[in-house]
Amino acid sequence: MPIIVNLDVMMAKRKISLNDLSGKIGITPANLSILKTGKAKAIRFTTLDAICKELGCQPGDILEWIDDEKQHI
Amino acid sequence: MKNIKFKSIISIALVCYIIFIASIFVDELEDMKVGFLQGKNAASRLINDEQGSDTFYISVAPKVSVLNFPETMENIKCNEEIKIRYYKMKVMQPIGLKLNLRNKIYRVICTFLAFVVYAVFVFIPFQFYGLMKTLQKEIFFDVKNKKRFINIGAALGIAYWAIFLANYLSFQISNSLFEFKDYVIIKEHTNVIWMLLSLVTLIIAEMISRGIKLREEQDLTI
Repeated sequence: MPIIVNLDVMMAKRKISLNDLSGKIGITPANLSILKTGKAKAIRFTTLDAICKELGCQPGDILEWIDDEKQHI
Repeated sequence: MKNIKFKSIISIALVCYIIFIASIFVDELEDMKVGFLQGKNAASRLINDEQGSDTFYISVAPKVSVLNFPETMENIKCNEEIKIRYYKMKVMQPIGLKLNLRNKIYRVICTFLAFVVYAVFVFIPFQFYGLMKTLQKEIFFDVKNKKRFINIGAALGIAYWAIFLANYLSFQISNSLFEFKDYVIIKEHTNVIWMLLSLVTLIIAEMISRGIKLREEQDLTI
């Protein structure tokens, strides 16, 4: 998948655990884990808004696009 | 409340299905009686070395034109002869009219195909029951439901082709044994509704498959 989710990087920078973040933004730890591990198929704007608000970052800090060919290299 | 509604639907569906199956048997009741009595008498005929009889079911069409009514019958209501035409016949022939090996094989195949169709009639309600159980749990886009619809569609398709093949083989048997002055023997028509139902069910299975993918995407949308 060309879209990489760097949520774990931002969580480490802000020193917040998965359970704490999920409790603050109103998403279950299981769903947040799906997002963190890159298994999610889509993310709602409302979820992205809540994450960026809590972590004090931009969507581009969480989501990154990498070309498929470069990813395989 | 939901349980009562589900049980009501299942009961109604079951009653409708039983009526449908019973109506088929009622339509064919006379033929079943003939077959039963011939089979019952077969044993005593073997013992007493007697000639028995066999019944053939033949579909016919007029030789000359569709406007040809070659037979006559008395209408006792007004005491006059009226012209009639047969489109189906039940012919009783002595067993002395021996079947050759090919026709005997065809008859065995027809018997087997009849069992296939009966198996389909038994198989389909079980699939529907499983479907209704999952619907009660408000689960529709499920892999098991997709498989059930595929099974039902395949079973209906198999039933259609089994009936089609049985009709063709019966036609071959009748054509080799009989020839009539005013009629030509034709193959009995197989109701296309079986094939249409099969196709519709398979299309529903494909729709469920797409629904399953959408549901999985929805589940993985955070």
